[in-house]
Amino acid sequence: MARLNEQIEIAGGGAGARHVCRCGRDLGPVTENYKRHALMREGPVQNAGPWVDPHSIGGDRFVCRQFFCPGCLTQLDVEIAQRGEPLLWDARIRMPDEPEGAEGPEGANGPEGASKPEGSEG
Amino acid sequence: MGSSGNGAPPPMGSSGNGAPAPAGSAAIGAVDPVLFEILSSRLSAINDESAMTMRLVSGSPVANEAYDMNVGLMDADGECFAIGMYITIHSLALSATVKDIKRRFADNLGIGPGDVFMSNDPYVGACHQMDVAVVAPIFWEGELVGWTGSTVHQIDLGGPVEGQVQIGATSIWGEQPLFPPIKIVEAGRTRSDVEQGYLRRTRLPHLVGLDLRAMIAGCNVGAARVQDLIGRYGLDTVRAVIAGVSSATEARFRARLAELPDGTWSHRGYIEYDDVYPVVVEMTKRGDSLVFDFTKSADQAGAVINCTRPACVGATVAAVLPYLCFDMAWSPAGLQRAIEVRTREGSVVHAAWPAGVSKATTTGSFMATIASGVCLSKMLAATEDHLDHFMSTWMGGLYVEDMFGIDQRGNFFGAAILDAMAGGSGARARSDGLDAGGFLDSPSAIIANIEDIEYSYPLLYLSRRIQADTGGAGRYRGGNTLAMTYVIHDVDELPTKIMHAIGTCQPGSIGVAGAYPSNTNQFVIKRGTNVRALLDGGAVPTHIDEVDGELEIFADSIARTSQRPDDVYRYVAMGGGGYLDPLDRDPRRVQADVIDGVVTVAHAAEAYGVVVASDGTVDSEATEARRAEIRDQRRRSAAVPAMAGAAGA
Repeated sequence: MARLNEQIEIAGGGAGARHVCRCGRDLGPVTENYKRHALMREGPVQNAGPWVDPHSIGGDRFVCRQFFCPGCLTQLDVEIAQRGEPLLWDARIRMPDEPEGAEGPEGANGPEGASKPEGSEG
Repeated sequence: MGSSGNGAPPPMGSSGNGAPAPAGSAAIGAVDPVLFEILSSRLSAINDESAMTMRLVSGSPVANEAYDMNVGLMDADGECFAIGMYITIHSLALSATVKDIKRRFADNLGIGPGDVFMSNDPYVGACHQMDVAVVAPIFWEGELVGWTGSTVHQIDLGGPVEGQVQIGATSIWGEQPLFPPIKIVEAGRTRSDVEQGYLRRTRLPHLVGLDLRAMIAGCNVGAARVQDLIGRYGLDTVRAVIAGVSSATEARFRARLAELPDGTWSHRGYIEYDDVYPVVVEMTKRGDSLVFDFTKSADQAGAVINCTRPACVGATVAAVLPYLCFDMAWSPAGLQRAIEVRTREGSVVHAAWPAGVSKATTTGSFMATIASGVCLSKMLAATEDHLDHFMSTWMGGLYVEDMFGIDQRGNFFGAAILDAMAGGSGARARSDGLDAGGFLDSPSAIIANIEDIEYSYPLLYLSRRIQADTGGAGRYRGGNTLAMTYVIHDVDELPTKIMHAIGTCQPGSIGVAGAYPSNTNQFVIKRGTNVRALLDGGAVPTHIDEVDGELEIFADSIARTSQRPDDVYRYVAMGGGGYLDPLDRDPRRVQADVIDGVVTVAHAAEAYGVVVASDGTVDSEATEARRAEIRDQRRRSAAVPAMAGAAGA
């Protein structure tokens, strides 16, 4: 079975293929960023670990985004970003029978056009 | 530390099990497969001998103790078919330099037997001004048949600021002098006018001069050994082997790519400077080729942190080598036939003249390697067949300290302290990253012995040790990094101390598939402490918290300061990223880490949800409750972006 990694598999084929957590929870179509269908918590970059910028020299410029499966609450990804940057679409598998042009939005991962993501502080 | 943990590749052309590579067998043409293996291995050994020669001749601890150098062999066109097992990006820059020399010298001065050329021009091929490239043509019976090359990172090459980082520069005009390719040796005789012109610009002419001789010696040995090989086996055979090495690598590399899933992987890394400069890469794999697209990276800075396009291309290949080429000949020419690197001129990874690049190898090109590596690691994670080769992110930001002053013998000195190269390695798919495992760019990375540093420079180390909790937490954790403290010794002051890094505000070593990243790079000085009194009393404080004084925290990623005898300096390098959710880590592994002192009890509970009792045992009931509590916190504190209407991909 195709997969993004050991935690997120891909069910189905072609343009109808979908991300699925190992617990069976649907995480959206492969033509979209799975992170948009996961639970997200955005907080200070220090949430990433006890030795991450302990003196806060970066101020609040960087954030730590944690993504969890809504079903089993497994942590799916930890993304470090500048506050307000779009979510990073970090992994996109191309299905063997997928039609051309189904890759999703262009330019989604650029530094420009940032918009503030929602989510509670952790 | 020592080897990279992913192992040095086998001799060139080898399949890894002693048999000729099936995928490359067609590429070796009429050469007997056994002879091909022998000669390709011999070419690899020639590289090793060139590098050893360079180390033995050089007086620089950078080459001798930290192996910040490399060598390479190129064909007559300048295509690099074999690199040494040191810092890979060094060798990857040699090819562009040779190609430039062939154009530049064809009609004026010429290229002849016994010639040697040098350059530090990043707009030609050098990674940055400090990585001087020395290359020499190899002739056989009057015919140009190949090139040999070597590089060593230099401690000082002039410019307004001592060392590497040209603080305050706004363009390359404010950085170190550039040397486009010049002929330093003509027909076997060193051109003393050129040598003197080169050495006149550095603050450390004796050291830089010895390094120049070391690089020339490395080239001479390489050229002589290739000529010996041709004399024994014939030019046609050696040429066929050289061509076959690259073709075999290309074939094996394409075969490997074909086994991996198609897709696109992306990463954003960051360079902190006068602003934050994202390095953005989208890696697309289709069939048997790879495209790395950096065009969305930030616009260039005026100076210091950018890299030129040759350095970015080399940095990308430097990531591909350890992730995908661990069992094949490291022939950049072969690999690059299957790799396309897209850049945008005027960006931080493709500087447009006259942007400065003096710190490129620890900023622009370094982050290009890391970002490419993140994409490659996620591609490997996408298939069970290659999961054994997965590595999470290695040390994602290299800290370096340059220092200049008068040493304990009363002599002017300059140094680059490279202890931070012992960063943590990334987690593997079924094992933890190596503590102080090195860094991705070099299979042979080492750091100097403390005693060697203390002998050479006026420093006294109070400690250098594994720092607990700095590896990214995960089911398999990233390798922890080193922390060091030292004071100056036998001198009244260290007047020039330049500390520089990326990853001071954010961790460059991200985790993969739900794991946490590493720590950030950190450097502080506690001023006016009681350390001398403690030492005089027989106590050796090994942690900065054990001395009293005023803590100075540096807000910028580049800081210039001085250090006095009562000041205690500490820096913490960067660890490696983890793999998978740390709540899925076997509590027994966490327990073992706590007992070994590489994970604290507090971190065990906070990141892993494992409660380790004071007697070192795991409290299973409390662990189960703690993990349930963390999952409940996740549920209560998070929301679904798509449901909340968040923008983004």
